[in-house]
Amino acid sequence: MRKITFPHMGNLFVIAKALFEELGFEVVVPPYNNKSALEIGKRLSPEFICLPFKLNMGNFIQAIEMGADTIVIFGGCGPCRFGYYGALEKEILKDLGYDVEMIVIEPLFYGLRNFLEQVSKIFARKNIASILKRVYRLAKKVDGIERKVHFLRPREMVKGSVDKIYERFRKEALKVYGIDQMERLVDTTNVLLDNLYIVNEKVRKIGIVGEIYTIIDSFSSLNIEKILGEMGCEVERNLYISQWIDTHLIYPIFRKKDTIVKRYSKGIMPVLIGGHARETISYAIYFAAQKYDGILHIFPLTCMPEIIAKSVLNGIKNQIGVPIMHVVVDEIDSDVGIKTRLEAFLDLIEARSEKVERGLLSWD
Amino acid sequence: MREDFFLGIDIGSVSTNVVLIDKNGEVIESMYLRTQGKPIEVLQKALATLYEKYGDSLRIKGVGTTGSGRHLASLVVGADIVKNEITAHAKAAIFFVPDVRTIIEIGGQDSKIILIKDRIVIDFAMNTICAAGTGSFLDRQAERLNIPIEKFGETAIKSQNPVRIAGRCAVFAESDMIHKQQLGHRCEDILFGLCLALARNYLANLAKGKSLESPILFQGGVAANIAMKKAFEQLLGTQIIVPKYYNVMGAIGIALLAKERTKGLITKFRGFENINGCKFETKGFECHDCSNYCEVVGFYSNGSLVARWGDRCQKYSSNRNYHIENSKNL
Repeated sequence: MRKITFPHMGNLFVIAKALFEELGFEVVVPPYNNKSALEIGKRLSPEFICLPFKLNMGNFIQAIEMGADTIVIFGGCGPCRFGYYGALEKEILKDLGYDVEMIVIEPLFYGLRNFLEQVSKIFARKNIASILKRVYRLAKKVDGIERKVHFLRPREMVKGSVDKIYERFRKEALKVYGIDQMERLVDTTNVLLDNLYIVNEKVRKIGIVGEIYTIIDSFSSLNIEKILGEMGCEVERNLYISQWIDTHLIYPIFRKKDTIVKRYSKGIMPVLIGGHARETISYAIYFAAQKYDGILHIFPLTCMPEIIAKSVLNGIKNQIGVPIMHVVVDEIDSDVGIKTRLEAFLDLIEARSEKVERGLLSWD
Repeated sequence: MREDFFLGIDIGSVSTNVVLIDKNGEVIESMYLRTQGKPIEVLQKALATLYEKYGDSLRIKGVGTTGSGRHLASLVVGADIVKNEITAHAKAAIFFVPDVRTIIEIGGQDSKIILIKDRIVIDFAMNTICAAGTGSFLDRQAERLNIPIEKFGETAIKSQNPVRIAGRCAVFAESDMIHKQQLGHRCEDILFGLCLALARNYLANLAKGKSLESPILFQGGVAANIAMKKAFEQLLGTQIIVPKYYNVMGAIGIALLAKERTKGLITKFRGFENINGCKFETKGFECHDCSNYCEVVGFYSNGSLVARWGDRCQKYSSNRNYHIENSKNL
């Protein structure tokens, strides 16, 4: 029987594990993204590749050592390097002499036949439609937990209680089997979170935009969401895993576009330039329109679409009217520098909002 | 003479600064020491010197810490306020020059730009990935040319014909500089070329897309270098102000913030005797309970555990009740 593995990306492992188990495979979940995964990835990857690639390599090697023999990864197209990941990783693993099969699922516009050929390796003789429906529901629920965590962190009465429940959820998720059990775990976690005591503090709202992997995966973003939560900020970001399923797997089939992107990218970036530059820009404007206090833009070093987004955001700073901070992440081992910048950013927001309340603001 | 004083401590990567201000914000004492990788010892030494000089006549009403070692320092002295260096620098600059619009700050390991309007910070940036535009880099190059860093500015300012050096990245700059040396350029021309390259790098990396309005303040350890000031003036085409206490502005800012914070409150300061007689220690270990492999650091005073941090799951840190301590409603 195949032993399937996949790269980490935030809570993706919860959903992917349940899905593959339901399809009757044995699943090897690599250890969470950590320093040693990054170390391995750094050694094997091209020098100027972005951080997600290095982490993927680390995940694969660690999973292979744990016995995995099949790797599933999504492909893609467009100018972002992600589309090339699967092919490149395949070659690197081959050069290293690992005997693994790599299943790269390309999007539908690369031809139905190719898609079905790859997909059929995974989905064999099963009631696919019902499984996919349940997985989709699970993905929505898991993201619901993350949203709840973001909401509760700045408001919790006893510091750290939210994270205790959340970490427990991530740990238990490795132990349960299949979609049903996973859903039950999600439900119990929800109950635990709902029963926390909260304090009604004045909470600042920060919107996070940026490159998909680095904002979803907490290791690569240096735990920025948690740090902000502890500093008393509620965090909302534009991408969750279920939204990624929506925008990349479901909308393209029905030829629909994310309504917010459609509305706010008009006149600024009407065409796709690859990656999530358009999403970054539109959601930055959207968050500002929703009266968020600040916007954080996170992306990995050398990420082309996001660098363009950064320049565009600089150009429309006055239109946005909300402070924006850009955070570039790569192999950074200590979070002290990030904390300093975030703290200064919140001070800026604080000082600024006092002026706004007194009606004295003049924005540059 | 028992007056009220406020202590500001700025522990940076290269320097440790301690200032003492009175209740009007007047600077009574300022110390600029080299950290040399031993922040706690240097801090203890500085406080011991202060105590010897003033003895019991010194009544500390508030203490603040800033800089990259601020959390450590706050545990050592018992600080009333712990703030980042950006806010502290802006505070001090506004105190001395109320209508300041731009602050250029270059320290040992990092450089910052702070834009101010109507006495509030409206934008800031800090170098993220490269240290080509900082004091340590200048220090190292001066050492290679065998010129004491204190003489750097004097020598460089004599230059009539500065050499053009690529300043995009510290590695490129260094090799470029060596090539220029081998061509036989004069020392002062190379040094001033280096200053210009650093200033260009600063403006290209940090000030990109921002408009620098006058008055512009130049502070941080590198502001001691008159050639750097000249380089910035040449590139920006305007006058630049170097404030009197340019190298301890962070410490002054945090002392002023401590003064504001402790209004009507009792300070958490542990007292000079307690700090100087104490033995502080930091011990770290890697936790292997899950695959996060966090590096947990413990801070000990006289052998007893004071604080722990670095773990993601908060198994070791944070037994304190944050909200009760920090709630504005209580």
